[in-house]
Amino acid sequence: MIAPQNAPRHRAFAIMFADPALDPCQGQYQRILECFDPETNPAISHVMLLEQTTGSWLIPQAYLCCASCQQHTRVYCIHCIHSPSKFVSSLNGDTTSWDVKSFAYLGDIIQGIISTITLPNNSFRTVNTVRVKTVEFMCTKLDLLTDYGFPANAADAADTSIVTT
Amino acid sequence: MWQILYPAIVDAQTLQTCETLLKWIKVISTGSTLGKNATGLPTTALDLQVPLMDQALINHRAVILKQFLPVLSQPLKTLEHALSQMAAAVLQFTNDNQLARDKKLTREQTPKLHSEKYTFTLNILLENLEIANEQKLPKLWHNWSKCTKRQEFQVLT
Repeated sequence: MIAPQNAPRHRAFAIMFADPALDPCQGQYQRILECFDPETNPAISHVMLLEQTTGSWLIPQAYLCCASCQQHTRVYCIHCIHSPSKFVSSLNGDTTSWDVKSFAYLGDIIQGIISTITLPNNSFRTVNTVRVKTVEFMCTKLDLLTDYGFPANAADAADTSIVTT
Repeated sequence: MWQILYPAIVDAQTLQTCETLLKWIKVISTGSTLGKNATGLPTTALDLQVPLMDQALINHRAVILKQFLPVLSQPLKTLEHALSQMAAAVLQFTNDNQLARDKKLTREQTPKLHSEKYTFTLNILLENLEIANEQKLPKLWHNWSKCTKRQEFQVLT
């Protein structure tokens, strides 16, 4: 966990995340990554994962996510979102439209401005039995990759495998 | 990702550690819809929305920003410090110059004695002229003492 008073005086998230002194896992991410694998940890529900990530906002967290591009709804882009948190209403009884919603930052600070995005409740979801190309295929046939991903896979294609993530 | 991230994972020898990440990357790279036996959601893509921030949400996120990047919420001390240091240096330089100019002016305005300019030769001069002290030297010598090196020739001629 980060001690704010000891935190180096970084001015950008990219530099902060690259600072090994602020890494609470000290490079050991296997256990954490396994939590996000439904095959390894089927007991952890999606709701629980969202609660754990947003509740641990004191720990530096960054995630890759796939989202549609603003320019083209059918084209998907990989974004880096980080620092998730859940809005908690105050004790004075005032409610807001943000209550119980989760938020994160998208990208880094540019000229003092950073984008806040709403983190959907289904951010962590299981996608079962997807037929995917093998790593070897993806690495050797990168020229086949389009904005829509690699070509669809035939059910019995030899260079494919079934994945649940 | 396949050009940068995957080679980086291989180089770091963390293929086993990053197995979960690789599975996710494979799925989002596939681009095809789920198979007939799929039971999950039809797509892995999230719907990221930018909320219309109000003060309550700004305050909530500001706490996180301050936690990770505390320096952003503080004034630019380094820049201010540098500017004040530069201003102090300029002021000091100006004062030093002014003092030097004042000293030079005072020195120039003070009447010079022959003994101050020709310390070693004064006694020889007094002896040759048979004079007891320098106040009794002829006016030529007093003028010569007060002039600069450039003016010396003019005084003599």
